[in-house]
Amino acid sequence: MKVLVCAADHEDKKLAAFASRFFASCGSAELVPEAAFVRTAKKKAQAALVYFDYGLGEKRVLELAAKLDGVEDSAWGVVDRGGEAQDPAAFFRAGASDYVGPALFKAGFSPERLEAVFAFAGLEAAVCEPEEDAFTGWSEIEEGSEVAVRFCYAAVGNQKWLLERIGEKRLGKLRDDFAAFLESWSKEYGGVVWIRDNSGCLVLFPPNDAGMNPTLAALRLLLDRALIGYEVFKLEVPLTFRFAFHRGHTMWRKPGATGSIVSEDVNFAFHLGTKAAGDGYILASADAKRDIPDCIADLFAPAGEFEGRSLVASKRFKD
Amino acid sequence: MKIRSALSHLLKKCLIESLNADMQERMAQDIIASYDLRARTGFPPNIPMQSQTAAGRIVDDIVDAALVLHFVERLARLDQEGFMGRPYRVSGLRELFKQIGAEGYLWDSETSRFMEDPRIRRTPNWGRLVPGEELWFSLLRIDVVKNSRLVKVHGETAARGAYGDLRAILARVVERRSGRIWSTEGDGALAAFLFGHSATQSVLAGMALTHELFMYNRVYNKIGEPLRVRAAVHTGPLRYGTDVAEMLKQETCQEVIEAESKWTPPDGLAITRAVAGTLDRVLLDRFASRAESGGRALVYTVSWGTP
Repeated sequence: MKVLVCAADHEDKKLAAFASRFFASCGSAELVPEAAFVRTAKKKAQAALVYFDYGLGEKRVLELAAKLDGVEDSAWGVVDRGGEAQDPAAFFRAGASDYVGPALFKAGFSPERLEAVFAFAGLEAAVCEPEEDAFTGWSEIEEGSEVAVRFCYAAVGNQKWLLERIGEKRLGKLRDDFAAFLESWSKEYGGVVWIRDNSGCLVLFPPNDAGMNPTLAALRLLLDRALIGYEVFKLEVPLTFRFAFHRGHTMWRKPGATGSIVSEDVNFAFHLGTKAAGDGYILASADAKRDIPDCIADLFAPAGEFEGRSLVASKRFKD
Repeated sequence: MKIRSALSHLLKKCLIESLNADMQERMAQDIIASYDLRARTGFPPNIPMQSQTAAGRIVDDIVDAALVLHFVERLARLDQEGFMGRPYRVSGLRELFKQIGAEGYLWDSETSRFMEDPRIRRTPNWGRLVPGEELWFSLLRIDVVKNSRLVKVHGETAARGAYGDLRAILARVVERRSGRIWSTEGDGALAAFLFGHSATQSVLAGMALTHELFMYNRVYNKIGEPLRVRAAVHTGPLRYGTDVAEMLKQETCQEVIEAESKWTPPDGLAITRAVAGTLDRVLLDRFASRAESGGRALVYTVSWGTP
């Protein structure tokens, strides 16, 4: 049994995060753009609970829900994050099995609630068996315990050149702004900025994707570097980034309390980012290679070895 | 824009407290050409008109013509720049702005105009343009490459789905930069930008579109071949109208269509010289001249550099 969230836009990051955060540990969760849903509704919605984003419009939600008529083992609900629906009960009269209002959207809901929704919908109830090692959030991890994570060292590129062009003060401000930018960027994909050094940040991502894959998201940042430099950081000079990915283990400490950590993987991730990575592309260790999605795998090629581990590097976008 | 009586009263009060009848009429003439206050009120030319009488008539006429935003913008300019070398202070402007803001409009300091708050509504005329109004726009035109082949090979349903995705992407990149999509008929679309630095906003939207499509084709595209688009940006004067087909006949629209169809490679974004001249160097450097255009356009594409 799976959960689908149907929205107008495949880039609706809040809904993607919603889908990942609240459903990922309870089975399969997927954000489906409206256009794709219309094409594949009959097939996709089989054995599925489909949540429609109220942003599609009430009339459209009901039209899309009607497409589920006759689809085996399917049910539907509405995600109304803005609390805009005047009469949520109307959805139930039209056959809905759930309604997620703003408070629930923000707070999230438990596997037990999802199980109750399935039961109410008359669907197979035994669907909510979170994987044993499912990632449940950074705040849930016990201090000092060992965790499997994905490391991403991210930094502003061309810093020597930038120092000459914009000066030390503005470069320092840019590094601070970039760290703040990474905070919100990584959060969208379940990550957390963990340690900051003089030139960049070490970001941690959960071992499994929560929303967009982080390597794909990093490629997206490289693609958008000119727009980010101009629109976000208000720079009058070109901007690029550098990224290094590694997968491994570390002892968990909260951000800001990481001074006592001794970890081979943390050291390696830092070395990879500060000594091996270059400007304008993504470098990944052999351990992180499996996290590169198939759709961009052709952009990566072997890039030799570093500290005894083989590497792959992405192509660079032309400036 | 629906004008509440409180706003109308406040506007009258501002006029009465700030300007005499002649100056009020002069301001109204900047908004409604050949506005004749005497003819409107029936006052003979030889009898002086009270400020209250003038304000009452002018505001009612401005409200009827749905030009309140334009009129307040004119008063704001008067307050800031004066008139014929003489300074004027328009009292109550701050309160007027506040009330207009409460009606769902934002002040754009770049153009000194009100625009609708995109968090509240998004209409093709930004909630304020009136047909016949000539303004300086920037236009982003896009066209799907080999549209008919796409339909023929993959079927109408699949192609329609891909176009739906394209429209969603376009809406995202355009509306994020205060632009509006004016037309999405067939395999092409036209978006307009008026606020902020409109030429820059339209170029940024065009660049973002090429990036989004790059990712879309790699990650989300379900039709089995890349959805390829040509995009172009041009800037120039345009008489706004509700009939897009009629607007497309105007020179500025024709030029952006020509730039897109003649000078833009698939997956590329072309900008005309008129646009290039207004861009900051950091953006302009991303564009390369294209021989086919005879120097009339520069083109941006996503391409790979050396490793």
